[in-house]
Amino acid sequence: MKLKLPSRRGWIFATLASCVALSLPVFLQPNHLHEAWWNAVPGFFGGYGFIGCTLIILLSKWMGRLLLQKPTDFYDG
Amino acid sequence: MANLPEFPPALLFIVGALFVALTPSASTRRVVTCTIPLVSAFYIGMGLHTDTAVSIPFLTYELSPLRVDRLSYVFGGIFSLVAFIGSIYAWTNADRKQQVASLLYTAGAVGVTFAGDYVVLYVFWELMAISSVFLIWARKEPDSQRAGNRYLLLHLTGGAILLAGIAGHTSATGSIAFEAIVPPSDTWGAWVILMGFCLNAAVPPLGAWLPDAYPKATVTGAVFCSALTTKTAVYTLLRAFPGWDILVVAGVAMALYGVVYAVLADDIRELLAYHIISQVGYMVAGVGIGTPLALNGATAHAICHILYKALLFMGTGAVLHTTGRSKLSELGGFLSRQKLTFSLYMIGAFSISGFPLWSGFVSKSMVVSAAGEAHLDGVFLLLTLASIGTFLHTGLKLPYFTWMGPDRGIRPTSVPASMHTAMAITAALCTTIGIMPGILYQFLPEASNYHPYTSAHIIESIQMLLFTFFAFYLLIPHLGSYPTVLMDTDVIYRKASPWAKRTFVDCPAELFDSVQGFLSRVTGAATQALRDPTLWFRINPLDPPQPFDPDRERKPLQTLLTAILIVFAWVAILSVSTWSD
Repeated sequence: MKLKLPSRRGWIFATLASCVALSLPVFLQPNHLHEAWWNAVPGFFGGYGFIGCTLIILLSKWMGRLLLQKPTDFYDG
Repeated sequence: MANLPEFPPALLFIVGALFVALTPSASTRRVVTCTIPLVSAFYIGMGLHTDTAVSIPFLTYELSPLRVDRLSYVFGGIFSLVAFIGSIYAWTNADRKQQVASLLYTAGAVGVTFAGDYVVLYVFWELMAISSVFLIWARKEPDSQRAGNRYLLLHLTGGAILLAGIAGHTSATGSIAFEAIVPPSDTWGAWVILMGFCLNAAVPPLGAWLPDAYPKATVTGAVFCSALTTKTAVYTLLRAFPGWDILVVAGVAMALYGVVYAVLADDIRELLAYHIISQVGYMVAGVGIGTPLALNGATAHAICHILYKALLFMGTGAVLHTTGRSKLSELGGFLSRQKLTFSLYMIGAFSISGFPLWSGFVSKSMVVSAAGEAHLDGVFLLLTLASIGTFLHTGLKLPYFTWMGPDRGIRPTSVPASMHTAMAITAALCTTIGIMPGILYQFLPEASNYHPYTSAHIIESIQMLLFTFFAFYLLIPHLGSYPTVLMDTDVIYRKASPWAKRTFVDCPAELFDSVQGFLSRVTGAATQALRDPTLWFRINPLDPPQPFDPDRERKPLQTLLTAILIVFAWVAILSVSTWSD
């Protein structure tokens, strides 16, 4: 499948959505249930979502190629 | 409703299964299959109280087939409810075997839930294993037959392990009561029981049976499978092993393990099967954390998971039913023809992903928050990472490549109204729990004042889900799948099975055949040789045999017998003379 980059409208939407999501703490003033170091990092969960998703995809694919994915006749015979 | 007789609700399902097995009319069977779970749900809700207990003397023990408390009450109710939904979904399926199997399977799950002792638990545990395999075999494909055989073998082994554990635990404690075991237990039986429960909960490395078997079950059978076996195991862990630290490690490992495999899975139901393992990981971790919030979280998440996972399996089952395909590499491009199915599926996807307003948001967060409250920061972050993977797979990858993606010219048949009805009921329940979590929280085993809709929780969820979507969008080209087999821990017995068959079946059979053939030949030769001993004394053995004459050998025999008598007489005379001296 060929890489299809977002359109200009897509980029504008993504930028606006990111700004809204990251500025939510300013308006909603979060009350955290428990103290943790990441509560002090602005937009921590946005970054965690992006990096986490990327890592899950790339690491899983790498592990698949390395060990886990086998030909469909792997268990035949 | 206090006047209703008190009996185990599992009996309703067993009687219903017997009736369905003997009823020739397909429409009657359909009605009964749907009615029994509904009657059970009403009976549990209206006829049982949280202090109800029924016991029966058995040898030197007291069997307890009905023990009701808040935990068994809520699990028994949700198992009955999901069986009702599953029966509606299977309305168009008139296969008697599947109807009987689904009723007995639910009987097993409900029976385990209300069991107050290990003997009753074990009986219903095995009933679940034996009845559920028919929902896999009923697909009637070679792959399903083999997967069903492996499933049955694994679960019977798990049952044997559980039985050994029960024997060890009972001999050490003198009690068969199914109660909480205080960690760390000093009985080896407790650890073996834990192993038996973990096999059914699909804890790696014991859980490869799940993604092996569930994708090969029938469209309707997979809905029951997704809801019952692993959640019954979660119930038993909640009952017997709360606060066992090892379960925190196992739960986190499960949550991430399922996510990694789901990236690689090509079959949509295999992907969901791996996500069962991931989601059950939250529950197992919650049991291991053991605080009231964590135990409530594990219970709440089990209830929500039963509903939204059933909804997801119903959605993917509808795709398989209408297209005959279940591989992501073969699907795509028919969203416009299945908008309702897609929309209902997405409610399940929003629920499992923890979107605000849906059920996962109010249940999964309880376990994650419990980890935070217990200052288990690593557990908190890893479970959150698994949550990212959940949205990636079930909320983005699966729907995108199944209904959107490249058009492959698929023209699906129409989805039966009964399937949409069952999906709509489940979607409504997922949404209701998400909007009004108090409905769910009132049934939880521990008192709790947890509030999911805090500003921090909403902000964190929105940020995480949005940026997960961005990463998915940029990495779509890396997510395309192709037909493949995923090597899991079942490689040990699947690769070893030809060798084991050769060693333990073929070789003994060949040896037996060889010995049997040799002995046959020896016996044949001996029979031939001993057929007529007089031939041995013929001067010329090549002389043609004489016609039968009964007097022919009489004279030689008389001579021989006379000689023998003379010898005996002589010996006797000698003996007497020697004795008289």
